[in-house]
Amino acid sequence: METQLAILGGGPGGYAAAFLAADLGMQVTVVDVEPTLGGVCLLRGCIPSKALLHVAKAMGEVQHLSDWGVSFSPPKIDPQALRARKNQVVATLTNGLGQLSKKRQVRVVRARATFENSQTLRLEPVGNQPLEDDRLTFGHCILATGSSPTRLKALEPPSARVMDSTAALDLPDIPETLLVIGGGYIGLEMGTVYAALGSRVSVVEMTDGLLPGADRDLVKPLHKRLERDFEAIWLNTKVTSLAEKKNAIEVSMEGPEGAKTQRFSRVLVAVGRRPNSAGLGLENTKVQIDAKGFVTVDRQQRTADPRIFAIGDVAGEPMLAHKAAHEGKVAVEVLAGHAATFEPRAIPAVVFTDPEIAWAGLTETEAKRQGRRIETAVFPWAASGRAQSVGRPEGLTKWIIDSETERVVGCGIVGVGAGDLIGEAVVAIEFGAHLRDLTDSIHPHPTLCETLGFAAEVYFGTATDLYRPRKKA
Amino acid sequence: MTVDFKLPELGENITSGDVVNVLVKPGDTIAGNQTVIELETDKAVVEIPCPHPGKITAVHVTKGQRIEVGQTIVTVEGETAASTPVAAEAKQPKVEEPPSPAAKQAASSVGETAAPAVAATAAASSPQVSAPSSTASDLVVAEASLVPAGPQARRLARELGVDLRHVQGTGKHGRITPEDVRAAAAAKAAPPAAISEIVTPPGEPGQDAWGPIRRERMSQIRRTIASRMAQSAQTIPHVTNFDDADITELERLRKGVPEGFLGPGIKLTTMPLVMKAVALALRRHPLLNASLDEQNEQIIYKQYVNLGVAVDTPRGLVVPVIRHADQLSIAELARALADVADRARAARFAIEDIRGGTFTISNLGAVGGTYSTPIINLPEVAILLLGRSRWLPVVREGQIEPRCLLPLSLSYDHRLVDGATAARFLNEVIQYLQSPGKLLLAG
Repeated sequence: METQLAILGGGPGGYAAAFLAADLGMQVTVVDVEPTLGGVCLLRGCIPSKALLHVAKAMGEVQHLSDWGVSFSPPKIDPQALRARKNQVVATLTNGLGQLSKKRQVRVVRARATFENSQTLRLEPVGNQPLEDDRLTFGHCILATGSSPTRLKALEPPSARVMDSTAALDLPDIPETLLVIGGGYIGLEMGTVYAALGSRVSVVEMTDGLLPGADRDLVKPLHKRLERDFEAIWLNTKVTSLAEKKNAIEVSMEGPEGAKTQRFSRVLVAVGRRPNSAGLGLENTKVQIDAKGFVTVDRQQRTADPRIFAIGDVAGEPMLAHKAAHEGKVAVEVLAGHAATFEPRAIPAVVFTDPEIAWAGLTETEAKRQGRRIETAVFPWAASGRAQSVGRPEGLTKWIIDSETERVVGCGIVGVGAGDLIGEAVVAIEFGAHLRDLTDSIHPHPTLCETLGFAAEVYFGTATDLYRPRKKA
Repeated sequence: MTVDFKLPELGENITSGDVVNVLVKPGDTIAGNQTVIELETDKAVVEIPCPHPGKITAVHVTKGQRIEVGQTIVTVEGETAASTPVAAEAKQPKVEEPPSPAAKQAASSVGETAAPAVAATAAASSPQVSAPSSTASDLVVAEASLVPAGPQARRLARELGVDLRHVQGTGKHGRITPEDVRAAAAAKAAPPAAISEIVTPPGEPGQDAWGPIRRERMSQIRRTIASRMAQSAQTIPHVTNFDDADITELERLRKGVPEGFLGPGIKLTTMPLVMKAVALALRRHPLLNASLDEQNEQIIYKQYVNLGVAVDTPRGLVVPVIRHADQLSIAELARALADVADRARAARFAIEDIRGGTFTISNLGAVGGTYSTPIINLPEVAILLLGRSRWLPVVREGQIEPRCLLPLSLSYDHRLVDGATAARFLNEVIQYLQSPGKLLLAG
């Protein structure tokens, strides 16, 4: 089999690249071990988790209506129906991708692939599907193999009660108690789902705060709410052993208060993800891999091998689907001879807990680490009419500002719908918007997006709904 | 009481400098307003005095380091830590230099300075003159990631090979629009960057594909000169007129002046005489003493003649300005020139000394050569280059005579100055030089 452009991996990076390449007239073949396109994001990650989180949030909102004089009796949960409905979402989207690849004449091959050399992929059949050919030669290849959950191999007993995020999304059951190891976004999102479904959830995190890397003022409102929804949040605590017992996993932990042992019906290991760069035969090419397992690329997504590009999770942090998609498009444009470079000023990140947290551009934490001079302007949602109307005043909107030019270089939001508000901030940062661009752009009232305009006004000390005069230098 | 002395505002458009010398060390006792470091910025070395008297407990900068306005230089343990002297130090009256968007940015930078006052002046004043402010604003927007250009503008810049740091944005708050990028590309002669050109860090030090190399960091002065020259060359349609002035009589006069007549150690060279001739001629040809404000479609006639004199220093080209040259006598011009050249070479300068020029004269006579095509010093509209005078056979009234001729090259901005205007001005300068009597009597 021959192809002009081979794409190894059909996830959000791979298929975005494939479809653009086809639109630009290239002959494209996508190789993936799954029967459909979509990758981890669609099949076992972003999409199914958001579907479940939607249910969790709706359940939370319904309970909260009792504040407003509307009371509901506790819900009846049918895990099978829930699972099926979630799978339906995934199926709808994978069908859609299948249609798109047909319309664009992108060939999709289900196979396990390894590099024989810089021009050839060796294909092995997966499942019952017979292969047209056991080799695929290509003019160029885009490596988009993504990442996998990191396991605690030394600690984990061979038990189905110890899950990773993939297994957890399958909702094998609703455990009575669940320990989430890892206070990052995956652990907290999954914990939120299970807590809403009725499990008593505990989180154990090694560092001194949830969501390490995110600004502390954004995490605080979430932490407060999780203290209410979760049974326990243990920080500065390390898991030292896991042992399978009858109908439970016994977990030993060491924290600031000393060592303790507790049993949980199930354990979710969410300590990170690592790039899928091993076992692909990359040693038969000129591609270089760094110590963490990421494929080394330049800003045009080229690897050390002139025929091979790499994008997405396998090419580096942040491991986010939208970053993969944009990198995929850059790689294809470079192949098409356009002057493309991957040089975004802001890659947004969203944590889909309740409240959501979203940030883009430079964070306060990173600015401090760099020793870079910035100013911040914060608008607390307690002063937002809309936030009060929906009974969710715990959020805040924050701009990170370059001191000299008064341009926005970062944004952080915590609150309901933060993920849908951050888009405006990304555009503002990409344009090097001045704060006045934001204060002078009319935002609708009463909405949560107007907090972006208000926060900009806070910088000048003239926010209408907040008395916070500007401190003179 | 301990005080951290931070680098104060140095003037509009200047936000950083290289430390040339650290003059104090921990344990030293300093008096109020004692110089603690020497800083090289924008073609000049300035002394930075610390207003707080007391004992230096810590020095936070080192020689060669690039520091920014607002950065701590030394910590002083002293009697009083007055913040007002620092503010007064920082607030410099900027009457010569037309305001620019960069001024507003500099004013709002972090530092204990009288920022609101400076910003107000900048905001209230008259229209901006484009080029020097845009070159100077390169210093403010030095970081590529702060260039206010959206993704489409950046994409175009890549495709057309335009460096966004040198583009003047016409959008709101100085944003660079795709139109600005296209305009900058059209103004440039260079071809667009090749697609395969990856922005990679410099290669192996000391080696390129063809042999050994040696890399050296560009000094602040050199970088400033480079960007100003490029800016001038790209913006101004330069035309140069060449001519000779018969200075046989002038030389006779000049050589007849006794040694030390103008002052101890001051030699009367041709330069003060040329400066006088130029200053007088500029009074009668005001268009060459003007600036162009294309943005507001106006010509700014300067009602004063400030002559910039190009001085070659070990650090590079510096152009100190002699103010009101038209009102100085030849003797005064000679003294001013000597003083200014000495200070330029010794790098003993204030930023004020190199600003506010209306016309520049460059004398290459000492080095040699005849004609050249000098680059105009924005925002001026003309520059005169003097070559080395030489004796040539000249036909006068049917006879061949040896005469001493001074080669002149006048570059001018053809947006504002037409060929005939330039030629008339140059004729006038030559008239004065060829008839020393007129030069002396013109007063």
